[in-house]
Amino acid sequence: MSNRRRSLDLEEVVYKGEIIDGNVATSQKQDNELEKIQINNNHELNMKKVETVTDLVKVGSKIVDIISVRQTSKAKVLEMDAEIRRFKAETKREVATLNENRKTIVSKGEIVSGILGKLAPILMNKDLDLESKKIAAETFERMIIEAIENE
Amino acid sequence: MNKFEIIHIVLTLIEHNEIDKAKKVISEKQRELRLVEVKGVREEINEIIRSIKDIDKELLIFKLKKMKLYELCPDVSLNLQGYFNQLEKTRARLVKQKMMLAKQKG
Repeated sequence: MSNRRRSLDLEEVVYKGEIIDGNVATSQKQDNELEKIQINNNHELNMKKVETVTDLVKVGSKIVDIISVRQTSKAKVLEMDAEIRRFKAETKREVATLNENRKTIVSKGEIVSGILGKLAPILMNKDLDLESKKIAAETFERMIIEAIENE
Repeated sequence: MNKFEIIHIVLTLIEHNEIDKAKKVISEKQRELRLVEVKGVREEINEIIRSIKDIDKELLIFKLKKMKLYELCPDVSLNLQGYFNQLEKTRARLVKQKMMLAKQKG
């Protein structure tokens, strides 16, 4: 109904001297309607708030997931770095031990070789009898054993 | 599509990107670790081979010297079996160690 029409109806009521009960009823109705609308609005607003909170929780959870992935990978990398360092140190230590043992073997060999080299001219000496040569050999043998043990 | 949905999509993309990045970094580190292991084992094996070669050289020199002395005076014998055995034992231990390392590397 247009405003003009509503206004004409009202004029007609006023002329007839009727109490405008209808208007009272209309006002109450309007209040009820307004209340309903307000309730609906509140409900919608609350639902929107719940949705927003749910969305925020989802976003928060996603951010936590991202941080967790980052931290896990960082921890894993650190762990592997430590393993690499440990392995390198272990290799270095093992190679150093092997190198040291090798040097000892070579050094012992040089001692043995040197002492045996000194025995050769004694055994070649025709002026020395067999007994002397045997004593010399035993002495050199002891020297070798001592030298090796002391090395 | 509201802004939260957009944010969620963006975050999902970031998460996937983060996972991909982590996978790449970890696989790179695993590769590095394997290389370090292989390099380390190779270094140890090379050092063992050097040691075995030196032992072989010492054994040969010792045998030759002993033969020479025997040739000079057959009646005089040298009992240096202890030294000889020690070298042989060390050699056998090194060969075993080398085999174990090669297995580990394989």
